[in-house]
Amino acid sequence: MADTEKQKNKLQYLLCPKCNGLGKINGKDCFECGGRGIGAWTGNYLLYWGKVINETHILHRKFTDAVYDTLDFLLMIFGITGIMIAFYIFTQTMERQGTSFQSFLFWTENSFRMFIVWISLITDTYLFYRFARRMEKWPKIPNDMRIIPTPDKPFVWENIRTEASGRMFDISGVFTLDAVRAIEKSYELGKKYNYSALNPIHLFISLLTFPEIINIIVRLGVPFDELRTKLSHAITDHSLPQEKDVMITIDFYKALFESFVYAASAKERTVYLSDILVGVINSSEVLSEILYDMKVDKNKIINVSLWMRFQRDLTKRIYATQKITSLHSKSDVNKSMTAVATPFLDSISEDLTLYARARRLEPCIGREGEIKEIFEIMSGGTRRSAVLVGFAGVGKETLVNKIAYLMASENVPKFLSDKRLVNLSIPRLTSGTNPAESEEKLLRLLNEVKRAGNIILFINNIHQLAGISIGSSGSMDLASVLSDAVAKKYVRLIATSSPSDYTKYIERGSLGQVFEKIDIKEVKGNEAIQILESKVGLFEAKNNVYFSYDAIAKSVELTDRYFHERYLPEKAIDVLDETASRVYGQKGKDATVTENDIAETISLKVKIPLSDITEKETEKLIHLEEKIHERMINQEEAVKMVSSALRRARAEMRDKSRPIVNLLFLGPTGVGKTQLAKTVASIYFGDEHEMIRLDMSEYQEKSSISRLIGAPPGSGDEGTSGYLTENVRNHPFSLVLLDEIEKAHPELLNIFLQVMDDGRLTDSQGRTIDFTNVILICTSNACTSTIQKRVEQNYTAQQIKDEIVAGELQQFFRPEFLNRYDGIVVFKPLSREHIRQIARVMLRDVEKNLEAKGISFMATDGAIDDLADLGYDPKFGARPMRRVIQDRVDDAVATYILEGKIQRRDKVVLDVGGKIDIIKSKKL
Amino acid sequence: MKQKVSQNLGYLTAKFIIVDVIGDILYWPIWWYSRGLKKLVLYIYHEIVYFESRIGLKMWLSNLFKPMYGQRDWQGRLISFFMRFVVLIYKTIRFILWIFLLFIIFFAWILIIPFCVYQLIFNFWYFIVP
Repeated sequence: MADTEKQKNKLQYLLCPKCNGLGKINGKDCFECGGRGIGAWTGNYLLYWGKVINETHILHRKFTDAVYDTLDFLLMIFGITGIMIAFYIFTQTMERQGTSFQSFLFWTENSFRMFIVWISLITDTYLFYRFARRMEKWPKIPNDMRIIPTPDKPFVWENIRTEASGRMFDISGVFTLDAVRAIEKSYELGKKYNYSALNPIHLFISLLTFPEIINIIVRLGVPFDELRTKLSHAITDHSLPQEKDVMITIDFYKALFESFVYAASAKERTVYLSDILVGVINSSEVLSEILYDMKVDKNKIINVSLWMRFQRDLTKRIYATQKITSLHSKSDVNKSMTAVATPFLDSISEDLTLYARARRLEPCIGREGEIKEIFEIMSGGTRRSAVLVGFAGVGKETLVNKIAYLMASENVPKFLSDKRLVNLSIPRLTSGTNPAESEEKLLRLLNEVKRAGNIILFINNIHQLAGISIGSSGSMDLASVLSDAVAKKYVRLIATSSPSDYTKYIERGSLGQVFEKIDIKEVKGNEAIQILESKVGLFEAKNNVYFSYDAIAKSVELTDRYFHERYLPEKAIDVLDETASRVYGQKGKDATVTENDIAETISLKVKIPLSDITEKETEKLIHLEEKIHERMINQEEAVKMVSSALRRARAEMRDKSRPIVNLLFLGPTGVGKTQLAKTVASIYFGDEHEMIRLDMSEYQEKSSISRLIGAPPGSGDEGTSGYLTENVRNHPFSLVLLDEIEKAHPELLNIFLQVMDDGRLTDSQGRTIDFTNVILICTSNACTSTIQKRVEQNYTAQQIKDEIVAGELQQFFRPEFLNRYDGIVVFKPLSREHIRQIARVMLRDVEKNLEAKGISFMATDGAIDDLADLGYDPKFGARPMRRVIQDRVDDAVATYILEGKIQRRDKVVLDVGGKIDIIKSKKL
Repeated sequence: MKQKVSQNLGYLTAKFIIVDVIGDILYWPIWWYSRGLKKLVLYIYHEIVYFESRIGLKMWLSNLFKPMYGQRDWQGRLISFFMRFVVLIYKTIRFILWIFLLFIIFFAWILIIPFCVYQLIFNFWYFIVP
């Protein structure tokens, strides 16, 4: 689809067959094409570049510009002189004749100086004519040029005179002065540095000297030095010193045609510098490669140039509304004065149309569809009031601001013209009064609205009205009073509410029958980016920083992915605001906010590493297995699985809609299943306890579901949040360990099916908890006897796994549950050598504890053998080891310390039979 | 090479002076009474329409018999009518004055060049023959 689209928008280039598109034969203009060389057929028009680009013409244009500028300046001086002389003559006449009608006839004087005055006056008209003409001549892309139709049949040069007659278009006429200057500058650069041929890349370099383009490059986050180096490498390839004129390549002209086509399709009136930027990248592969290498593609450039254009047009738009809003009434009474003043309403509300008139409301981008729908509802039908239903932060109030702007500029359907949009504040209506008084106030207010006849009410969060009733529940409440007035069509209303409140308080209540519901959806993707682009100016001015385009795009992408309880665009706006002030604090004035800064802000909030990976972290990730094995003996397969899952997660090379990895560790007790989880938590998440651990033996009842995900509504503990969901909500990037999963109630396993598949879980309060950044590890002792038996029979781990997964394990878990694991790892029983290593690892803890007291520790090989014998139990694996070390080492050493037998700098040696030797240090 | 450039430049400059500078001056009076005049007329038209909707003349005329501030009793209606009548007269005067001003601009546009030329000849004559 995209390819055919591309094909459709492609221009068909025509090269002059005589000069091969060069425009010159032996240094003279080609007779066949008149020096134009190349044309582009759009299917409707034959585009050509009419301005000659050579030294003479550039010089000439500079000369004429200088002449015109001087001429304008002189004419202006002369014009002003004339007026001053006239004024001088007038004051002289006044002095002579006093203030009388006679002195106003000073111009009837016949003199040389009056002669000058008349000449200057006539010059003024000439000057006026010159400026008006320049405005007229201002280049414009014709309307019918804006859609470039498909070139349906190939166009051949021979047919130019017949088919293209009257349809030739000189694109050079619609380039802005700056754009033409950029083209000429590239030629001058070529001349200066002796390039044999002028390519789009030279045009790009020339563009880089213009502030508008520099701005775009800065916004794209491209480092200038790097760009300069890359460009200079690209240029030296075709830089040849030559005496002759610089040849303009066909690609150069193609870049100009592409710029024009882009500007025309973007519905612009002229070709701006930014359009040339797009055109240049479209037609130069080298350049697009260079930029691609710097993370910039065509789409980004288009988005940034749109952003810059938005900022440029903002001033124009403000000027336009200024004139238009002066049409709307300045006061609370409408222009025809038929309205009645509403002093009471005014005391508890704000007039949004007046605010809009003073341009005090935040502007709203887009949302045309919703506004049209609101107008349609309000214009007629049985229900003339609308309630905008959407989550907090999707822009309901901003949308109402836009209606206020439209009303202030009288750009609305007739029933809204010359009306006021008034924001009624419910807290101001109800605070400090009892329900009966509030109701009285509301009635009084509605009466005023009815009599005034020019008021449209806006009530934010209208559900707040429901439930404020006078008597017992079920009696008349404020909502009923309001809905009664709306039903009788006394007032037209725009209200807002959130989806849950709408369902709970409005839909089935009295208000639900008088309102038409309009869903306000959350904005996504490009639309959200454009809204943010319109807002960043504010944060930039406030904090003296600049946003790169990537920062804005990233804020939309990341908040969409990680902030599930808030909505776009508000959540991204908050992140931008926060990042701007943080970056100003860190980097100072005029710093650029990059995508990494945005990632850091979000990282801080959601506690997930998102910013660029530092060298230290890379080191840690690459050597993860070794790090884990420092504390974990054997079980290579499991260690490798966890490590590579973490690496994949950090490099964002995984399915982002599921947990980082789902693993099932099988094996007898005491072989290191839980230890591995703890080690990963300690190495990667910073602390052994940085994991969410659930002993599933505590969840054997069906009712324990509520402890996992919270108590359901209606139960006694309603509102209690679940242990699992609450922990994951607060620590979305963590390790979840489900110990002894086979002991859990089968219903609970169904919950984990969803977690493992979709990476999310809805808690009892209806919140969606994100599990996509979680490492899910389940351990199980199921099938232990089979594993032990097969190990004795020398089966490999793979063979054991295949056997139990296909058979015995299915008694404990359903196949669909087992299928959802990314890996099932069988932990093999430990050998004697492993036990010795474990003893060493555990003694390291003893060593560490003693080291803190200034005492060194050592164990002989015999002692290790001893510990291995005592600490190993075929049933419990290495589990008794800790107790043995406690009994044999910790206890004994503790006694010695208390007795004062061991001092600082002494050495403790553990020997065979649990004997402890103390080597005393030298006396100081 | 150099020779050719200067020749070219000479040609371009001559063309510039004859066509662009002199041609421009010759076109000035023609433009003044054709395209320029049309632009002025359009400008005046838009200004009148805009001014009318700003002061709401038509709206006040159509609401002449409607009571102001919702005072629907006969006293209110009577006072409203006279009040509206007075305001309407005031608005009409403002409107007429504005149109008058615009017409002055219109006539000034038409007359300024011939008038200046006449004054020039007039003055020229006197300062040759004082």
